[in-house]
Amino acid sequence: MKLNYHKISILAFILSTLWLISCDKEITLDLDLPTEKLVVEGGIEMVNGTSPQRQTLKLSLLNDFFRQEAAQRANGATVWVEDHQGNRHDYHERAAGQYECTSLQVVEGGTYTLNIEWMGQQFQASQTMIAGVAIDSVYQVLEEENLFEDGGLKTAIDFTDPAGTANYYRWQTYINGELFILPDPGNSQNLIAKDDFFDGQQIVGYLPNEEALVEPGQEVTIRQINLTEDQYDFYFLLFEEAGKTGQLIDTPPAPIRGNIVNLTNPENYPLGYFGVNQVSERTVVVKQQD
Amino acid sequence: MFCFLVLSAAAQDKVTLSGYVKDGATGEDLYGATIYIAEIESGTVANAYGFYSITLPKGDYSIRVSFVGFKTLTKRISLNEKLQLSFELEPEYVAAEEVVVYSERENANVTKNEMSVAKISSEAIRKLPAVLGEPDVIRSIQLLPGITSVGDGASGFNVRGGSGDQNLILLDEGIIYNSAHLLGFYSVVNPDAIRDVKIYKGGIPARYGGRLSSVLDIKQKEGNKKEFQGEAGIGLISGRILAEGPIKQGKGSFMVAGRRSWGDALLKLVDGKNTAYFYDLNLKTNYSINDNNRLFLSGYFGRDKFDLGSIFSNNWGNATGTLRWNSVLSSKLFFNLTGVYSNYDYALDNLPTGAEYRWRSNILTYNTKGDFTYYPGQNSTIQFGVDQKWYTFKPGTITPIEGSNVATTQLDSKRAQELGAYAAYELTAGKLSVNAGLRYSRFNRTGEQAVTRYENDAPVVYNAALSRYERGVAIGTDAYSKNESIASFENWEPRLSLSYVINDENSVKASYNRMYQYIHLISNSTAPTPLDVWTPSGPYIEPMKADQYAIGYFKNFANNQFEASVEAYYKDMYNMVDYVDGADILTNNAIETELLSGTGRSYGLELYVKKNTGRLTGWLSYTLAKSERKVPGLGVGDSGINNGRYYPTNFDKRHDLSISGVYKLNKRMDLSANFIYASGIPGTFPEGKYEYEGLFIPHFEDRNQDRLPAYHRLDVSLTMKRKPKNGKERNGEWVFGLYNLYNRANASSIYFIEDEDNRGVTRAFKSFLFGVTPSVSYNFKF
Repeated sequence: MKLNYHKISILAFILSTLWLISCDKEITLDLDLPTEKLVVEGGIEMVNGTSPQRQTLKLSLLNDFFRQEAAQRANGATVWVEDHQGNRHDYHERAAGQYECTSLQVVEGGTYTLNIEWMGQQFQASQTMIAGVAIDSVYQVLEEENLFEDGGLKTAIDFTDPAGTANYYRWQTYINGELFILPDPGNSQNLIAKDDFFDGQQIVGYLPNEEALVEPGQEVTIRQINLTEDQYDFYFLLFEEAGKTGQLIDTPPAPIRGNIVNLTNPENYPLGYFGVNQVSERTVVVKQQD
Repeated sequence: MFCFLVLSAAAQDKVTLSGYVKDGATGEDLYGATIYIAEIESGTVANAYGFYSITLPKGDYSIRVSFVGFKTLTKRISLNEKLQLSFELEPEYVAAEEVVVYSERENANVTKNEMSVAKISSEAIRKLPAVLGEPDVIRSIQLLPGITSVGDGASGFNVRGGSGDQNLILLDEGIIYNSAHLLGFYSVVNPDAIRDVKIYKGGIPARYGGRLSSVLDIKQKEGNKKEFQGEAGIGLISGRILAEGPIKQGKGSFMVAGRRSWGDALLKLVDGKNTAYFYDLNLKTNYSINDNNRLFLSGYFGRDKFDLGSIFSNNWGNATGTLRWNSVLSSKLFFNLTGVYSNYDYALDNLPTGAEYRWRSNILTYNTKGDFTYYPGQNSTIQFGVDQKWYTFKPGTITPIEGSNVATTQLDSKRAQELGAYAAYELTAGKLSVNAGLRYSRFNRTGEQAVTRYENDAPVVYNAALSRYERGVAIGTDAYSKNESIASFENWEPRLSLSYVINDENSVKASYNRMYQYIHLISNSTAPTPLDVWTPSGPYIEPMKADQYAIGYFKNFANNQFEASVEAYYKDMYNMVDYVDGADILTNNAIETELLSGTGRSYGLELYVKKNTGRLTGWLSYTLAKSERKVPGLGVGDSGINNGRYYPTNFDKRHDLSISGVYKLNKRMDLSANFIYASGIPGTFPEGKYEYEGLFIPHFEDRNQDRLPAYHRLDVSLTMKRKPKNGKERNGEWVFGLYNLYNRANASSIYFIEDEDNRGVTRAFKSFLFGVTPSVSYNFKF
C-alpha cells in the first residue's frame, strides 16, 4: 500500500510513457571544483522511548562530483551538544570525522543545540525532541511483481497514526545490520510520508522500502522515525535530488538547505540536517514463506 | 469611438460595395483575400469571416480579387448604388502544390500593416518531415523565427522568450489549455481538419487579450459546400479520416474529422493489461439563414487515455464548443457573436489494493463575445467589441473508489470572471498605415472560497539565519460567499502598429503592444505536463504584464519569388512568478507559499527568407535571442533567486536556425527536408557531491548557469503520388520519412546520479528521445 497516492502514480505514469522511447547515455563534462563545504550527517535519537548509550555524528567535506574516491573527512573538530538543562556534552573523535557522545540523556520535549568548531568556523543548530509513533507490528509479505518493482519477500509494518496532529514519517530498513537504500526515483514517495490523507487511521501492510527484497534467515530491522515538517521537506528534496530520471518531470536541481548555520561565514552554509528524533525500532527474522 | 461617429457622418455621395470572397471549388470563405481597386490604387482585405466592405465614390471600377493559391479574378463593375457582390475564386492547383507558407497576396508581407505574424497552411504542415510521420501543427510552427520549444517531447512552445503558458491557443475561438497529446509528442490539433494556422508573435491586435506572448489562431475547415468529399490517412502512429459536404443544396456545409492513435495495439502485444492512446474529433457545420446571416457550430473533443493494469488509469483532454452568428447588419457594419464552452479535465484512478481513489481536476470556461467591424470609408476600418469569460478552476478532488478508506479531499475551487472591451482603428493614408487600438481588461476573482490569511500578509517568508525561503504562517481564513469579489484588477492595454510602404517591394513596420495575463500555469518541472496547475491571479498572485516593442524591414525580390524580413523585438515582463528552491507545487492547496515574483526581459533579432514559387520552395529562419528572469526577492534582506541577478529562462536559446524546403522532383514526387540547429538550453550542473545516509547527493547552487550541448538534426521525407492506371489518375499518396537522419542524440536533459548497479560511483547522463526514426504513411481521398 502506498500513502502518497497520486505522486507515485504520476511519477509512474510519466516515466512509463517516456521509457517507451527515451534513451540515456553517459557523458563527461567539465564541472566546477567544489568549494570547501562541511557536510554534517547524524543527529540525536531516542530509540523505543529510551536514551541510547551513544549518539554519533559524521563530518565530511563536499566532494568533486566525478571523483570516485570517498570524500575527505573533517577531523579535528570540536563538537558538543547543549542539552535541555543547559549542560554541555562533548563528542570525541573515534575515527577520522567520526564523532561520538556517550554522556547525553535525552527526553521528549527537550531542546538540544549542536555546536561544531572546525577550521576557525563555528556551526550551530537547535532542535526539540517531538513525540514519536510506535510501529504496531512488523512481518514479512510476499509481493507480486509489477511494472516498477520486483516481486518477492518484503517486510511490511502496521502503525497507527495519531488523530488531529500533522505527522511526518521516515523509514529505514536494515538487513543483517546494514542500511538498505537505493538511489531510486520512488524514494521520496516511499521512504517518507505525511499523514495528509490518512490522519488518525491505522495503516496496515505498509512496505517501508519497496525495493528491499529479503531472504529467509535474514534479520530485518525497521526504524520508524518521526520527523518535523521542515525535516520532511529536507528529506523529500534529498530523495528527489538523488533519484533523478532525466525526464522533464524531474524537479529542477536546487541546493538543499538544512537547519545548520555557519555563524562565522553564513554564506558558506553546511550541508545536512541536525535531527532530534524519536525512533521506533522493530526486528523480524525472515522465515521460509509457506 | 469618436472617430467612428465623425467618419460615419461624412461620405454622402459615396456608395458601399460589400460581400464575401469564397473558394470556388468548395464554397468556403476565403478570409484575408485582397480586393484591389485599380482606379484608386487601393483596396481592402476580407475579414476573418471572408466579409469585405469598401465605400467608394459612384463610378466604374475594375476590381481585382486575389488570394494565394487561387487564380486572380478581375471584374468590371458600375457602382451607382449600394451593391452586394460575392466573389468565387478558382483554385490554382499547380501553384497550391508548391506553396509552403503563404501570404494572402504575392507581396502582402510587404504591403499589409501586420508584422510578427506567421501563417502556415495545413498543406505545408502535412508536407514537412515529421517524427514518425505524424504531421504536427505545434512542431511545424517551431520552424518559424521566434518560436522554439524546450526540447523533443516537451509540450507547448515558447514565443519570443515567453513561457509556455503565455500562448493563447484558439481552435475556432475555443481556448485550448493543453496543446499536447502523449505528454508533448503530438499536438491536439488534427492537421487534416484545419485550414490554416496563424500566429501573432507581436503587434497583437486589440481584439485578442489574456496572454502575454502570442496568439495561435487555428481555424478548422468549414466543409465543402459543393460536393461530398472524404480523405483518410494511415500512419505509424495514427489513423485519420475526414468527411465534408454540403447541407441543403449548399446553404450550409459540414466537416467531421477523427483521428486515433494505435500505439496501444503495440503496447498490448508487450503486456496485455496496459494501454495508452489518444484520439480527437473535430466537427464544424455552418448554415446560411439568408444572405446576411449565417450560423456556425464547431466543436473539438480530444482525449488521452493511459492504463497500466492494476496500478493506475488516467485520462485527460480538452473539449470545446463554439456557436457563432455572423450578421451583415448593414453594408458597412459586420457583426459576429460567439459563445464558447471549453473544458480541460484530468482524471486519474489509482488502484493499489486497499487505497483505490480517483483524482479529478478541471478548468471550465464559458466565453461570450461580440465583435463589430465597421467600414467607414475606403481607407479605414474600425473594430470594436466586448468579451466576457467565466472561469472555474478545480485543482483537485480526491475520492475513494471501490470501497477503499481513502479520505475524500478537495483542493479549493477558484472562480473568476474576465472582461475585455476593445476598439481599434485602422487607417491607410498613402504609404502609411496605422492601426491603433486599446483594450480594457478587468479580472475579478470571486467566491465561493475560503482564502488563507498569512502573518504580516506574507505567504512566503525569508529565514535569514538559514538564508532560505519558507512557507508563511497561516493565521486564519477569510470566507467569501458566492460571487463575492476576493480580488480584482483593471488594466488598459494599448496596441499600435505602423507600416510605411516604401514601394511595392520594400516596407518598414513597427509595433507596440501591452498585454496582461490573469491566469498562470504554475510548474516546477522543466516543461509543462498535463498535471500542472493553472491558477488565476488573486490576493497573492498579481497579473503578469508585458510590453513589447518591435521593428521590422520587409522586402520582396526577384518579382516576389522571394520574400524576406528582419525583425527586432524587445520585451519587458512584470510579475513573473517563479518557484522558490525546492518548491512542492503539485496538490498544494497554498501554492502562493512557494512562489516569488520577479521581472523578465527578452530581446532578439529574427531573420526570415522564403521562396514562394518554383520547383524548390521553402524558407530559412534564424533567431538570435536572449530570455532572462530576475527575481530580487521580498526586500527583507533576502537575495531572491540567483542572488537577484538576471538568469536565463529554461527555454533561452541564443541561436536558432531552421531551414525547410520542398523540392518537386517530378509530377508525382516531392522531396522535403528540415534542418535545425539551436544552441543548447540552460541547465544546472552540480558544484560537488556528498554522501548522506547511504545516498550520494549532487550539490547544486545557482539555477541555469550551465548549458546543454547544441541541438541539431536533419529530417527528410518523400511524398509519392500513385501512378495512373489505364490512363486514369488515381488518388492516394505515400509519404516516407526519416527523422533525425544522421542519428544525433540531442540531449533533452542532463542529470547526475549514483550508479544503482555500481554503488558509490556517480555519473552524468544525458537523456534523449528520437534517434534516426523512419516512418511511412498513406493518404487517400474518397
